[in-house]
Amino acid sequence: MVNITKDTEKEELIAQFWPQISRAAAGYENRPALSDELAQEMALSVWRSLEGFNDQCSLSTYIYRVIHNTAIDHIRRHSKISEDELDEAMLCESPTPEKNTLQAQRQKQLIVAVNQLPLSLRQVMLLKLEDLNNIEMSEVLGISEANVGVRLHRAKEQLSKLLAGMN
Amino acid sequence: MDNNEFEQLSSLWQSTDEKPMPQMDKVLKRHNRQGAILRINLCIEMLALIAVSYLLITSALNGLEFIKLTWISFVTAWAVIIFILASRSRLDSLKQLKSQEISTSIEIHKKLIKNEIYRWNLNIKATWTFVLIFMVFNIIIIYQNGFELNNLLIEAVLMSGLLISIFFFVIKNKKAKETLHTLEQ
Repeated sequence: MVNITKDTEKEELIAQFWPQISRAAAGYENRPALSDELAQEMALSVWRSLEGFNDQCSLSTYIYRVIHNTAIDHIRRHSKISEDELDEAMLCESPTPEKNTLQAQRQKQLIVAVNQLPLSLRQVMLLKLEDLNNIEMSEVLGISEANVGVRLHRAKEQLSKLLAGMN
Repeated sequence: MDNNEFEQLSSLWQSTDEKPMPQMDKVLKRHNRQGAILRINLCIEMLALIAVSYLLITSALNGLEFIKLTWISFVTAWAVIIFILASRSRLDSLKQLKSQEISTSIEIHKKLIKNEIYRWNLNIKATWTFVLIFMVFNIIIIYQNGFELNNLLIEAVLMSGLLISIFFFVIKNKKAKETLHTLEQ
């Protein structure tokens, strides 16, 4: 059984998963200040939960579960208002020189589109974008593989429509 | 969307800029500070409760006018009941928040939001009860002692404050219900 109790080990793990944490925060919250706060909350939750890890699943599955449940907690505490206005503002944001590329614009569109998906579809989409397979997603979300498949199919359809509508 | 298109989308997603990583010691300190603020709030509420109870006892001992004593008794009983009911719900929420499962179970989040809805409903009902009894009390006072403009102004301000509070509670309750609906999707 792996026991992660040392602060240095926890810090290393958080650094290792920070890119995923950062992207998940952007996928659940598109208000910049709140997105940064959510990323910090996710890191804190991972830190506090590591001692409770007892090999019931893989460490990465466990960490993804913590990250996504922290997002649910965030949604519980900060109900989203005027999302459409914020999405518009985000897309119209004047690009900085280093971001003035087609790729940066497409990334922004993708983040906005993911944020517009209903929660149940957004969860599977965010995990799929991180290259998790259906079994891993079912373990993270606590739903059946079949359910993951159905949600993923719907999520892809909706995401395509949303992205097409932005072009 | 075929697999190839999705892989491109996945690469695009994974190449987005990272946020700067937080310093964990600062994040942990902030978390501990928030816990301390919660405990301080609880202490302030308990002190207010003790102050109201003390006022009731001294008023009873000093033989205050019956109607005023009734009013203070009502305020004390009202405060005690609300404090007990709200504290029970808060303690349950704190227990859930301390649970290891908070990070891994969505059911706990549903329970927390249900507790929050219960507390907003409690606040709405309690404030309406307070407003109604306050009005009855003032009608009796005006009937007994006559009309005083100064008192009426103070009471109008107080009443406006209470009505604004109810409006705030209703909005928060509505938002909490919307969040619960989202979680239950």
